[in-house]
Amino acid sequence: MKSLSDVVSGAGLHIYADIALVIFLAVFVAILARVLFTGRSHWEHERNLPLEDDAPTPSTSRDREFPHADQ
Amino acid sequence: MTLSEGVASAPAGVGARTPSVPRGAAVALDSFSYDDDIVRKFMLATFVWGLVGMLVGLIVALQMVVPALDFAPWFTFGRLRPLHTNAVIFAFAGNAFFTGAYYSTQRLCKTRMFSDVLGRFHFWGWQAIIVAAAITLPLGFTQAKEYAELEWPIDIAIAVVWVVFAVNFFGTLKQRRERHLYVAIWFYIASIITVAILHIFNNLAMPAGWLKSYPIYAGVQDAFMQWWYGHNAVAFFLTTPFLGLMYYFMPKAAERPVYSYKLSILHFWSLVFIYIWAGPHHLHYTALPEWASTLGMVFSVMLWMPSWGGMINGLLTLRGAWNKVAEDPVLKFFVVAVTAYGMATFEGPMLSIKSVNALAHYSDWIIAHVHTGTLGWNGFLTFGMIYWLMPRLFQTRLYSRKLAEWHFWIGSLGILLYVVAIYSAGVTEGLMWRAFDHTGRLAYPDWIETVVKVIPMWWMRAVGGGLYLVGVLMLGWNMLMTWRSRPAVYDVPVIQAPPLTREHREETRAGAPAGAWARFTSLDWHRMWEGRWLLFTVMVIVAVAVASLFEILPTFLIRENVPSISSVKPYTPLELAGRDIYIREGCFYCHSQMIRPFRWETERFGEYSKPGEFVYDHPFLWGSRRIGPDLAREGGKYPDLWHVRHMQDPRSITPRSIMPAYPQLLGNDLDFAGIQHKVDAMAMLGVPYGQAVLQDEAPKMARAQAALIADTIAQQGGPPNLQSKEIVALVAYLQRLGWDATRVAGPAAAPAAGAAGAAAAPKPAGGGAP
Repeated sequence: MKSLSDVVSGAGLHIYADIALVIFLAVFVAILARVLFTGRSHWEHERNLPLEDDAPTPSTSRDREFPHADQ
Repeated sequence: MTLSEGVASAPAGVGARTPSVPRGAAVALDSFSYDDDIVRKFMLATFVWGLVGMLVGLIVALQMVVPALDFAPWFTFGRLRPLHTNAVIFAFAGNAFFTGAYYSTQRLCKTRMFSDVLGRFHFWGWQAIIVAAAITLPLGFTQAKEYAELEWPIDIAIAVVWVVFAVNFFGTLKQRRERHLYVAIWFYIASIITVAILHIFNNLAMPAGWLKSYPIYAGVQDAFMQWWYGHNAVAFFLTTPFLGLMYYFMPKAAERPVYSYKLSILHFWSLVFIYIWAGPHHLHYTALPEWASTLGMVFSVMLWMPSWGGMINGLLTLRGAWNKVAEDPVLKFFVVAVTAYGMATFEGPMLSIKSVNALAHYSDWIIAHVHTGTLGWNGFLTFGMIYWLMPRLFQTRLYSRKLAEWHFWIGSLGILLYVVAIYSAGVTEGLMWRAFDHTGRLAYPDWIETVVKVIPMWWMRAVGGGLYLVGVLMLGWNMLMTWRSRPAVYDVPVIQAPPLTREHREETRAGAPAGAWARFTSLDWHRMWEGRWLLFTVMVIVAVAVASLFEILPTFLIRENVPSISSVKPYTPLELAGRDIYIREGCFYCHSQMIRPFRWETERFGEYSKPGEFVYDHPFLWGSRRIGPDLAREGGKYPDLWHVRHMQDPRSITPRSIMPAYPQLLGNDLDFAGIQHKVDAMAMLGVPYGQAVLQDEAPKMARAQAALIADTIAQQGGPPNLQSKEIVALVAYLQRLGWDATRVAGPAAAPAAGAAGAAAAPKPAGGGAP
């Protein structure tokens, strides 16, 4: 009776490790592109998060939907 | 104060990205407070366990130069070494991570922790696990896997407490009031997820009693799993959580944002992608398949860049603020911590290069590398964080800034003395082990020569470690005195922030084309990940799981990776019991069982080790350090009586030996009845034990073999009537080592003829040696 090891040994699966590596590389390159092609100002709010976290009043997050003071 | 009491109005221009709420509509603010009580608890635990773990570290350092300090069975190097490593990793560094994570996550998410009850369960559960470790490890209950020594009931408790922590953490993310997950949170997510995966899969074991188990993996596969775990425990318990802490506390202390957020994103994903592949570099030139070893090396070298991305980001956060470093002990600790991280993560890839590894592996060089990271990176980052937190958590001034400065300088001196000494020792050992004289023979054939040579350096290490510990005591005094000046009742500030809206959509960059492909190429999906904790977590799991599976599965399922050797048979029941004594005493911390294919090793120890030799080794015992010689071919080298005398008093055999004495093995009765459970558990794992699994058969076989060994010892002039003592089991095991694969010709092969037959063989492994 064939064991799982026998089946896997003969299945020619070596290529899948290469495919996994290529997928990893592609995702990494995509993230790299994402980072390179966005301006520094895009991340300004995120960079400052630790510095505004003790503020006892609402932060000026651009992501947060506030009404405007003049309304 | 109740929730939603406040009403916010924001300045013009704010909220321009996705104004889903009609402009001018008032938004109710949530009011909440942070749970700093749990942070104070974890901070105190960090100090207490740090003190304990480092004190035990100092003790084991001294035991290496003063063997008389191994004065009790539960106080030997082999029993205390895992206590030191577990205490400093999981108790000290673990509690430090929890301290920083509980403090920063609440603030970065602008919410209280999901559940105070779960937080307290996490705290007390973790401390109970540490206490359980502190009791069981000195008593000799161990799985024999480095940094995963704790036995199965404690492993289950760890899994439960970790899940509670995860629920509390992810629940907090779910109820957060800040859209973006700051990069520190990413590192926490990666740590929590990956540690859970590592812990569960490396600790899968078959119980053979309440505090005894055997891993389901054997030999090469067990080694592969262990160092997949071991390396990534360093990565995801000592590196990524502390990078998260660095990304939060460094900007806080410097009062500057992180130097480059873009670099932090690259740095994060690179580490998550690459780290998980690198484990096999711990097994270069062993019986691990060559492809796995090379893969581990290549990925390890690649790790250098993302690691330095973190270091550079940390140090450059101080741009324009270096004047503060001169004045602020917190920043001093952080600068040394990040520098140590940079040094250790340069050295790690370098050590993974095979030719460098050939010199460094098994030597003190690895110990120096580890301590550059732990003393410098983990220790100093923790101390800096605690000094920054103390005034805020105790709501008073730090008792003594000067004492903190002294802590920094004395700790730095301690690190310097420690690593300089141990780097010297490591290189000295590596070079002496491989040296040949002009006649082509080993220049230092007596192992003890290589030990004695480095003892002065071990003394210097103990001094360095002692200074580091003095620094920790200073921290303790500062903490105590600061705590004493706390207010009678802690103030609990009420924070206000608006809740997140469900209707939020990410802003598309101006000019971006429409359509699915355009959305992909614009790469704004990563921004979406950053705001969705569940999706982000799934991506991390995918990265870790795919890398792990593609590296591990071939070793398990493709036969050519572990060629079998027909002469290799299971250990006899008595040998199995002896192996468990070897494990209990932690012999594998000082003696490897893996001869690498180098002439300087085969000349000294014998034929190099083959993958097929270890197919019944649950767990593998290859070791990672050689304080004593390799034992892979120990069987038959010496008479049985030699082993008895050596265990009774090593210095009666080798005058300058630093090995602990084990005279108790000649007095302790062997638990013959328990051997049946061990054999049954092994049989459940697929070890072919044949007749030995029949009821009470294994103890009978063990007694028969024990009687033969005891007779032999008596005939050789040793103590009589040892047949019921633990020493005969240990002798049986030691005399079996290396026997199967190399001594298959002739009648001497009898012990390899199978477990069932071995007990009745006229010259079993133990007792038959010349």
